[in-house]
Amino acid sequence: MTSLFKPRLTIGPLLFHWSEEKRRDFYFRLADEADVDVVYLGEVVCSKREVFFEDSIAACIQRLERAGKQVVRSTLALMTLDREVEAARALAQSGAMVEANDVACLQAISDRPHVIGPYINCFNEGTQDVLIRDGAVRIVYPVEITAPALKVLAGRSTVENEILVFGRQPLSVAMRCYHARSHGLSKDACQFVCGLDADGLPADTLDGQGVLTINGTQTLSNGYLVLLQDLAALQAMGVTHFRLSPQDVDMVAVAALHRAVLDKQQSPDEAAGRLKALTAQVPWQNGFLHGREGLAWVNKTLAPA
Amino acid sequence: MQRAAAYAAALSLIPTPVLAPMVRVLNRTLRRRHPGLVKEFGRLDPAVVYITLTDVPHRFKIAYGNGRMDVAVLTGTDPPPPDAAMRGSLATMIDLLEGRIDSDAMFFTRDLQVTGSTAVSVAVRNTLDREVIDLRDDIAAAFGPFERPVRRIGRRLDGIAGWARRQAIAFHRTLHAEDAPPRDLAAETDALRQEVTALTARLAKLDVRQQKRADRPAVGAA
Amino acid sequence: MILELVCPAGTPAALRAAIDAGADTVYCGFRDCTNARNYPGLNFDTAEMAEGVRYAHERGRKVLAAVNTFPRAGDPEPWHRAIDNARVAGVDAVILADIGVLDYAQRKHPDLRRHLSVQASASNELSINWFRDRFDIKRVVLPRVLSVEQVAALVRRTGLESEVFAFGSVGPMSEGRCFLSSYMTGLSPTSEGACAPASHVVYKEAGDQTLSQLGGVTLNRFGKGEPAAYPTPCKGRYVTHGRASYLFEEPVALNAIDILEELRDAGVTALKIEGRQRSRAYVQEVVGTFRKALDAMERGEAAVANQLAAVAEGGKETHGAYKKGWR
Repeated sequence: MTSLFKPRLTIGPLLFHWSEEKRRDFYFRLADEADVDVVYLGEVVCSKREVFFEDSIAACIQRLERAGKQVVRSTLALMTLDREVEAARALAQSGAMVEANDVACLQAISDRPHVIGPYINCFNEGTQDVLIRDGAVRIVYPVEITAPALKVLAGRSTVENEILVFGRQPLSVAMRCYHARSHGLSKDACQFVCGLDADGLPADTLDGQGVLTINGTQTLSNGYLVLLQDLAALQAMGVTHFRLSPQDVDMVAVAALHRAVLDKQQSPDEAAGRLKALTAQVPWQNGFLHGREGLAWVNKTLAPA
Repeated sequence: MQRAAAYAAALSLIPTPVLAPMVRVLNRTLRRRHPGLVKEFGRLDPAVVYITLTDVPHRFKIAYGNGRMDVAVLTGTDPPPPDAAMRGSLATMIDLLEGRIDSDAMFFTRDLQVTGSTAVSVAVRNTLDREVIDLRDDIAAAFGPFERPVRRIGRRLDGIAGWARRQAIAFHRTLHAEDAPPRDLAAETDALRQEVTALTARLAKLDVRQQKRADRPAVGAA
Repeated sequence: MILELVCPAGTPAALRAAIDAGADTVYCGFRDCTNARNYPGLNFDTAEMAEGVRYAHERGRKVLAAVNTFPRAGDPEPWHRAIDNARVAGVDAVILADIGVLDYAQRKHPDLRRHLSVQASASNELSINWFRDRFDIKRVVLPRVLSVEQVAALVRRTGLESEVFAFGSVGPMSEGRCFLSSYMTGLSPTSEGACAPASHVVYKEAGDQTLSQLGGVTLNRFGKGEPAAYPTPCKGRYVTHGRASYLFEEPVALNAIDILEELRDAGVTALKIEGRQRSRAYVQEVVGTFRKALDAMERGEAAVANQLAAVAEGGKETHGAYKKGWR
């Protein structure tokens, strides 16, 4: 199935709490300038943030769709409140294409095409079969997936296959807000301090090593996942969609580099050199796919499938 | 755990050359009384663990894996280093052996120092926890024909321990020098030392006999 | 309604200890990656589980088998075998998390009772109903992220038996989807069954302090005797804003012993004690104490004094998410 599909570039849901203005500008610019095929839109981390995006989300969707991009609505990764569950149910029934990040969405949408997000554990064939039977048309595999597992799943899949190829790696979601805790606040009175860190709050070890990034109730890697070197091998395995997770860097330029490598217009090395200039001091990581600890950087290209 | 302190005192009286055959007897008892435990240790990835008792001048070695488990007394010439080492009082080690210490806790308690491979230490603790062990019964059983003198020593130890504990309480309560020991501790300890010495000598003989029997080739063996 | 006391057993000896101390039900796992406490020296083979089931059934108690990790693509066999063996051992139910494993169990052993593991992270009505409708689960183990009020609402709306955590480790992350440990070690709790595998844990002496590291990442530094937890990533100290703190969770244990009536009134079916990796002594102590407290509650007597601090992780206790303020 290697070359039957044109590889699709996607922009994952914005994980950080950017101001409404910064958010809108970001999506408008993506619509106008970025050579991407799919844009995921919606709050994944904390429902308290949703209100800030309410007024401009319709305009963003309109602009993106007018630019020919598929818009997929992402849902919360962890729902416990009634209003969160109700919002997911309403979205599922609105007819929009939805990325389900909590099994709750599946109950509301299983009769219609939908995307399985990376926060629903699809690690094996048995789960993949059930999800596809249930109406999934695309599966975004968990960040922890290894190359051998991906090769099995993408190889046998009858639907589209997506993985994260750029950005901080989502490692956990929780009920507790660690951003608030780091400021001595509770989640219920958080003062939206997560909005102070557009690219997340560094959490270092006691001996001063960078290791994690806090984003509200979510914990991310300190480094950016970078898989430029492995895009060709991933395509050969059957991966059809390549996700870039929005960071506070020039995402249009990041997208252009990935597009160029996917289209064989630029060598991975050349693109990596340019990406390094965009990502500044942030370390790169690719360990999970290479079967190592997720924080590792493996200076090796995956064997072609 | 006053009893353990008394055991430690008794163990300290035994020189290593005498202790070694005692531990060999204990090994055989272990196989007889806790075959499950030996089997479980045999199932683990092979490793060597050193046990250092802080209140006894002896160190022990536990080697296991590939279907075997052996406890031995370490002599000065044993080659280091083990996969893991544990260091603590006899009382702490008995707690560990009898399932009173968590693997979570074993690394944080002041009483126990664990070094080397964490996986090995956790495996040892988890495996010990699979079997209900009462060390006093095992020691008594270990000495088969000598069970009665050993039990007598045990009672004497318990007596001394209980007395020591009461003394400690009394000491804390009064802090008066006039509360002199009502018992002749020195005499009791001497008696104890004599019993232990006699017993260890008999044990050594027994061990030599058993060893000879074990070394004799089986009938029909090539 | 009497609350069922569900207790951990990491070893056959702990299973007997739990039953003898008054457990109504004991849960345990096989000796491999198919359960979420895959630590060396722990867990059961099929014969041991069958023996445990016999011991429990003779005394009118139950045994549950946790097969609650997620199979690796290309290697579903260990998980399928675990379900088959649990069946052979005669357990009363299996505790499952993976969608594919649930599907297998339902197809292969439709009459083997299925419970939904906390590792499935079903924390709302719709999620639970999805698992209920697809896989006919009979009980859900609720995540440690819900308040008593939320638990009550879920019990009312899903119509399923519910099991909630009453004592043990506090997991602040949404379970079954936390990749922090594999991020630091390369070994996945979701498929290998061990968070912070002992093989990657190192304790280092640093002056009069001890450093605990996981996969080379320093997670804590503490003096001897200072309360500290086994170095899982969520129990570590991290530096934010130039200040070190237990960012995710203090070294504390969940203890719900003084809100048992609230949980009963919420309609909860069963109380779960965490700790298959803990000692037999822990099992005896905690199970015995909860047995007494439940019996006292049934007789309408005054609450039993809580004396579990000594076995609580870090020696400190919390109500966790059950009460406001934890978040």
